[in-house]
Amino acid sequence: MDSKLKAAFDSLQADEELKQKAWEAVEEKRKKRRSHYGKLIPAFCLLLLCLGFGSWRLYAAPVAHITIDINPSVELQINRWDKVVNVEGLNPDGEALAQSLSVRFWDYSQAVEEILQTPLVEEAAARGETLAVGVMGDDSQRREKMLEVISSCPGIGQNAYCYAAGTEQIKQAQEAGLSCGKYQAFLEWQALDPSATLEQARTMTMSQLRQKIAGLSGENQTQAPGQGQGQIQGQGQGKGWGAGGSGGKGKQGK
Amino acid sequence: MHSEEEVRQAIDRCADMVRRICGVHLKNREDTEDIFQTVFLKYAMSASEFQSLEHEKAWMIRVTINACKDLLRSLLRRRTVSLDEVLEQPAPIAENHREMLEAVLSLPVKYKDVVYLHYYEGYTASQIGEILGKKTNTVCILLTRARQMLKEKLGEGV
Repeated sequence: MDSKLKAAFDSLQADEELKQKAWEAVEEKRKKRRSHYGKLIPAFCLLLLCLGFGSWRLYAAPVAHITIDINPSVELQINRWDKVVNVEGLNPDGEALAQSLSVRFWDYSQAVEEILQTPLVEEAAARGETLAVGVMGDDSQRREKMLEVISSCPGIGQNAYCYAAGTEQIKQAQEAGLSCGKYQAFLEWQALDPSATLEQARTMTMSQLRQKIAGLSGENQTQAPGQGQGQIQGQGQGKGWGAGGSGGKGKQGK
Repeated sequence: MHSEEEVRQAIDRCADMVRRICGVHLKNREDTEDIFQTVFLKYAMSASEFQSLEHEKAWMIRVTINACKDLLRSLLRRRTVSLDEVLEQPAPIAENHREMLEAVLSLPVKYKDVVYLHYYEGYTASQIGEILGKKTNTVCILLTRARQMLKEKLGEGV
């Protein structure tokens, strides 16, 4: 029976038509697959590109600015994760300083410390120039927190003035043709001396403005200021709050 | 995925075997074509790396048997047809072969595969057990009973 079974099964064979149809079915499937993946792969790559670009934009988007104003003047743009995403010089010395720095992607407090330790800044501080460090941004909580952190930086010593300001005040400073720090100082001066003008402020350095304010506040210690409320303890020393006309807040360095 | 060349070679090597297994299970040419294409499509799209031709053959047998069983489970496909339709192919089949094939085709499903794999492909009971996922003893029993049934159908003179 074995041989007969074998012979019987031998008679069952796949004809060429059957083989050809199977081959064609395989080819058809391959073509469909290539076409399917052919569309998917570019779409996937595009998606990855968009995600990558979108993620980078999110990461690189500044939510706050820190200006360090002593001449040189530089501005740090800070992202939502407290990292420096850009450094810009606000004047020729500031541009030179910005180019020499590599604080991008650093934590902002470390970047500020690094800048305050640069020779240019240290020399200016040694000459008695006033250092103004401003924190600007729309989020008041973030501004306050950053202000607190920066005020505690080791480089913030005598003759240092830290302040925070919202977008509105930045705009006003720009319209007045002053840096935000100087504009705040001008407002403080004007609060103490209503005859103060923008033209005068423009010709003065930050140190001169601070000295003016210190002098006037020393004279007017017993009098309430003209605009807003402020308390400055000592002259250029101790911690105090100076109120700008648009609700800015400042802290005097230690 | 297997390359075009690999698929062509597999078709050349295994087409007859796949055809025979289809012939043992299926009732018409249309279903045979269907399963034939399914098996080689699966082979083409499979990422399986075969250690040897024997390994590939065993894979092909399993896939073909499973595909045939899946098709038969589908209610729409269940209908009885004549042997002529089942054995439909260009070359005529000799009468004695037809008788034998008819006897095998009339066996219950569980006997058909073991009969084919043992008597035609020459696998041992344990090898058949591995391919079909059955115990060796079970295969031996199936083979013994299948032989008895075939003898009853075909007469003791077979």
